[in-house]
Amino acid sequence: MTPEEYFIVRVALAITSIALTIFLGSKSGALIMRNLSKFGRSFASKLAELVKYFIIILGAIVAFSILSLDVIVLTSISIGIFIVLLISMRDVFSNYAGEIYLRVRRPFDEGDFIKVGRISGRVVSINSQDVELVSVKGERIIIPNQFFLKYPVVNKSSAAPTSIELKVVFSGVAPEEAEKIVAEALSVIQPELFEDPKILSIITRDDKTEVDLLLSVANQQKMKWLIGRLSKELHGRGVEVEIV
Amino acid sequence: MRSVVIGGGHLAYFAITALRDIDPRGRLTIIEFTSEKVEMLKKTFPFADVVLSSIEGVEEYISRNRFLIDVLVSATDSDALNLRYAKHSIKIDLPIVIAILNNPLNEPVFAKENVRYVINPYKTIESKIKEIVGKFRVNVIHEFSKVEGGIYAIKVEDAKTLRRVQSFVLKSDTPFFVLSTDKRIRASSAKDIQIGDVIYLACHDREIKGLLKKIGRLES
Repeated sequence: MTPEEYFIVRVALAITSIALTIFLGSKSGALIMRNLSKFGRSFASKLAELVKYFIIILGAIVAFSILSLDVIVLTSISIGIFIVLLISMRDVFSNYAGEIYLRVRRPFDEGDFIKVGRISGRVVSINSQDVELVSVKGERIIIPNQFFLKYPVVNKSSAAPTSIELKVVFSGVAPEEAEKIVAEALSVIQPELFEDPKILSIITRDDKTEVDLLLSVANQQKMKWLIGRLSKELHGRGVEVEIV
Repeated sequence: MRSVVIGGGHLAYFAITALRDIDPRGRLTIIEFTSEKVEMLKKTFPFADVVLSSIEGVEEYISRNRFLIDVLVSATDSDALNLRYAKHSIKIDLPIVIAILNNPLNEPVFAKENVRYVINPYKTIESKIKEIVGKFRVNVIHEFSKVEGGIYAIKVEDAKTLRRVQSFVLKSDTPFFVLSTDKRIRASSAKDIQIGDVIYLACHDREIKGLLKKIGRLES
């Protein structure tokens, strides 16, 4: 093969490489759009674009290397550019990472009332770079997405009833008697509960009877008060009990 | 469950009845501002604790009992007071705060001020009239309170709408049922939907908006 023929083959291969990566990039983009649209169309479209161009750039690098430009030089240049981009746009990338976290983990939705760090408010919109809140005072607050990777988020709108399991331990009381005492005490605190309390199990070990209970409340701040009230009711019935 | 209803008017009546219905053994407190109404409420709702309070005293009562209150319904005859009490309750972290509107035009104000659960008692007027008269293209039957979505009725008037609706149901796997022209309710396959049927779709807001744009019933 003459050097001219060899060069033509390399050019053809380089063009094929670019064409192939353009094709692969488009297909990957479509695949990402199809599978990740459930996390939001704009998010999926942005990710698809990113992956598409990344694959095309890879193809271009391969094409250059086929054209006999030194691979090490090209790789070094690419890595250099990538590092500079990463450093200069670290906040932007960090916000994108935050968006991925918000879309995949879904700690809150638009309309929820949240608290992150010292800031609290209702979520108006979740964007690629930030989340917009309206505070209790009516102020508009923009929080960069990276904030949600650093600070715990409290979603106050997801105040679904909370259930806790309690163990009441009786000393020297028969299981039937223990069940009766617990049922009486539960009937007193029942009006404060979100759902009817449940006795999950009654187990006897040595001379102790353990009663497992399930209590659910909407206001989680009430739990400590409820346990105190239950304890008082049980002690008031003249039995030695321990709540675990 | 411990619930507090503020107000003793007709809005509060329905709130109290609903709370009693869902939790007959729960604790219910009604806060009213006039002694005459307090006496009347004690007779009408003997199962409830009725508290006489000044307008300013309500916030203090809520704050004092914030560790115990599960649900607060602000249902006075004044939207300004309802907003004030709802905002205060949200601020002190009550888990479920509901405001009932007197004037439906105030709904955006409540939404802007972080009150998530706002009941607009007049909302059904529009959909009911559309449904009764039977002349509508799209009708919002129900809006979910905890999700941005609802149940929507669409009249399948022509072949284009039929195709779009069938395609939407097949692609999105949206739950639906059909009220046919002969007043039968069906929940069969998308292919059985016919022109003249009313299709009821349960889906998210963004999905129904997308469909309405496609069938030309929503400005883009």
